[in-house]
Amino acid sequence: MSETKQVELTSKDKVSFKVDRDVILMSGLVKDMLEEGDEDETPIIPIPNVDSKPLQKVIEYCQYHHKEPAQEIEKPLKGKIEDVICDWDKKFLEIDQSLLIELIMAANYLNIKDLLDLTCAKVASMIKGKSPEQIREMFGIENDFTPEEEAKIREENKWCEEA
Amino acid sequence: MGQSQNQSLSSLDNKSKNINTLPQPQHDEGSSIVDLSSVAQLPDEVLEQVLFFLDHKSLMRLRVSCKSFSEKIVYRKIIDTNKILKPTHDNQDDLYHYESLQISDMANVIGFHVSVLSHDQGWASVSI
Repeated sequence: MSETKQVELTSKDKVSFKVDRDVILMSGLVKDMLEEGDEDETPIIPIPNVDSKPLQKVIEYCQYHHKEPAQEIEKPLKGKIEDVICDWDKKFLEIDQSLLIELIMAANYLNIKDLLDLTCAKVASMIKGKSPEQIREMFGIENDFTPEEEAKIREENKWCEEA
Repeated sequence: MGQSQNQSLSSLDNKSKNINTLPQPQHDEGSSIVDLSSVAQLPDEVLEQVLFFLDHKSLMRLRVSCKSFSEKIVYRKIIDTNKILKPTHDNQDDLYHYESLQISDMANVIGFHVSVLSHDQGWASVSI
């Protein structure tokens, strides 16, 4: 009976996660590091840019999707993201918005394209259909345009709003 | 040995975990935070990935929300609205052509949009 090879990931806040090597090979960064390193029994890979909470979510994602490959998400999104992703992904994305941003950064750093697409599409779907005022409110953005600047940019948008 | 496997996966108190047997995604019960301000501060290469999922109307609305987005989502007219292009065939109605191009500051074309304004001021448009 052969044991599955494992890798130990250490987060920015020094929490360690043991994960199957095959699973974490979804990360382009980890894959490159493993190819460069020695064939240790359980290599320890520091992930200094990612905290334990998003790293745990990343591992969950890889554990599911290394067996069930993610479907490509259309660009641009034509409807709601919920219409184009699987039930597991819908449940996976039921997280608070700050963790969503951390996940985007983690997916980008770890080079996991499918997870980056999923999380970026989620943010895009939150923006889609919102007015500039609603976008400002949702993101906590201060309107830093002068009235003249805003009028000019709204004039540029006129064709799009009327189309 | 078995102790670490029995520990709750949602707790991050432990310094070492084995999470190879997670059956379902974990939920964050306290998901009421409405602070996405960090989106505006996402690095350009990451923000670009978000913008690729947006349609033209959403991109244009995002431009109006703040200067940071208006600088990142660059809008360029390539033919002015007051320029009348001649129809290519005699049997076509006269049309005003209006084209625009949206380019991110990372030099990638996000979309190309052509709008046509008819003589009775109705818009028709197509996005690519």
